Amino acid sequence: MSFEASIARYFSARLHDAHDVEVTRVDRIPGGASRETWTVDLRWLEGNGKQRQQGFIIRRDPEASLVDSDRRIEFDFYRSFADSSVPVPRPLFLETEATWLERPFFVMERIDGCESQFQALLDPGFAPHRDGLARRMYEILADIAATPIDALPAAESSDVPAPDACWRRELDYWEGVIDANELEPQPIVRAGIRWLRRHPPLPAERVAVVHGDYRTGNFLYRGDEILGILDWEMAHFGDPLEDLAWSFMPAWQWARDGKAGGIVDPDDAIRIWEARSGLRVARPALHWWQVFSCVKAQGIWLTGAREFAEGRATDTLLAFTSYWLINAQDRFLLQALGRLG
Amino acid sequence: MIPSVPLVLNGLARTLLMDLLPRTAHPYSAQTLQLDAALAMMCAQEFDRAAARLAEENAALTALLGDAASVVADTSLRDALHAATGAATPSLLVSALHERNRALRGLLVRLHAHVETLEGESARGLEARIWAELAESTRRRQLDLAMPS
Repeated sequence: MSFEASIARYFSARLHDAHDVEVTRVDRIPGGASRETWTVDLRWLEGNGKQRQQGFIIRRDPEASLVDSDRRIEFDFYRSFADSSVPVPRPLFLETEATWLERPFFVMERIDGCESQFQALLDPGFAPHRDGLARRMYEILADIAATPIDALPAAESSDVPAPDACWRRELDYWEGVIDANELEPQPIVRAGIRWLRRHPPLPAERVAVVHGDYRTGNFLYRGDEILGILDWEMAHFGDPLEDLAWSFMPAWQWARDGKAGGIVDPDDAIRIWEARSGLRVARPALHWWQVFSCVKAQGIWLTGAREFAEGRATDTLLAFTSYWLINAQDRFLLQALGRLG
Repeated sequence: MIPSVPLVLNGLARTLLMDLLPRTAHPYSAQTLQLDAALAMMCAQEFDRAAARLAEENAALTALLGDAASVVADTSLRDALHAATGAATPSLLVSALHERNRALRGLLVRLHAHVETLEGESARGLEARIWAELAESTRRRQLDLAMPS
C-alpha cells in the first residue's frame, strides 16, 4: 500500500463520520531532524454529504535521528499548551503502534499562511518586523516559564525535578548521550563537562516547562506575529534559564552578529523575559546553562554522526551536521569557557 | 588521479546547485540537494588536507604528551604517555593517521582531567598548553563552505 493510501486509510478510521477520504497532497517538510514531518491535505465527505477539506501535520518517528525522544512526551507538551497564551498547533491523535504508517506518529492540525525558516528573518525586507517578532519570541518564552506545571498533561508523562536537581539531571543525561554516541575522543566537550560539574549553578528559581529547543527556526510566524511554537521533542521540566541560554547559543546566531537567532540582542531578550515572567536571570547561572547548551548540542550532533556512520540513517542532514557542526560546536564551547583566545 | 578528487567533487557540487536546484520545486528535495552539495565541497577540502592535518596534529600531540610526562603524578598515566609518545609513526594512510590521532586524543582527555587536579605552576603551564592545542585543533578542522570558483 502506498504512503498516501495508508494515510487515507488511517484518517478514514480516525476522523469522525468521514467517508471517501482522499489525500490530495502529501509532502515531507525539510528540517525536523528528530522526527519526519509530513504535511497532508485531505478531502472527505461527512455523513450529511457535505465535503470537507483540511490540512494536517504528521510527525512520524524516523528510522534514526539526531535526538532519541519519546513521542508521547512531545505530544503531551503540545497538549499542555493548547488554548493557552503559548501558541501551538492543536494536537489531535497519538499513535504509539507501527500498524498504520510503519512507525509510531502523532497528528496535529496544520497552521497555514505562515513561515518557519530562519533564513527569511535575515532578509532585509523583514527588518521592520524583527524587533516585534523578537519581543513576541521572548514574551512567549516567559509565558512558558511562568506556566504553573502541576495540572499540565505533560506532568503525566514527565518527572518534575527539585529546583537544585535540574542542572545535574540534564547534565547526567547528556553526558550519557555523549558516552553512548561519540565515535572518537572528544577532549573539548569532556573538558566542558568537567567544568560544569565543578561550577554548579544556583538552584532554579522555579521549576518550569523547558521547551528544550527554543530558537528561531522552531516557530511559525507571520510578520511580527508568532502562530505556533514547534518541535517540543526535547521538552521537560527544569530550570527555565536552560531555554534562555539555549536560545542565545552562537549556533543560532545566523547573522554572526551576536544577535540571538539573528534578531535580538541577548540583553534586550533578557529584559523582555524578566519583565514578563517575573523571574530574575542570575548571570552566573545563565553562563552555566550557556556552557551546558554547547555540551547538549554536541550530544545531538554526535548522535547524528553515529546514526549515519552505523548505517541506521541515510539522511544527508546527519552527515552535514557531523562535518560542519561538531567542530563548530567545539569552538562555541571553547568560546563560552573563555578559551578560544 | 586526474582530474583530482577535489575538482570532481566541486564540479558535482556546482551541478547540484546550479543545474538541479533551480529545477527543484519540492522544499525537501531542495534542502537535500543543498546539503549534498555542501557535503561534496567539504569532502573535497578534507580529501586534500586530511593527511597533512592529521600528521600535523599527531606531531603536536606527541610533543605535548611527551613533555607532560614529567608533570603528571599518576604512574599509570605516565606509563601510558611514554608508551604513546614512543610508538612508531604510522603510514601515511589517512585511516592509520586517524587511528593514531584517536589514541593520542584519548590520552589527552585523561591527561587534561588529571592536570586539572594538580597544583603548581608547571601544572598550570601544562593546562594552558592543552587549552591552546584544543583551540588549535578546531582551527585545523575548520571547513569553508564558500563556492569554489
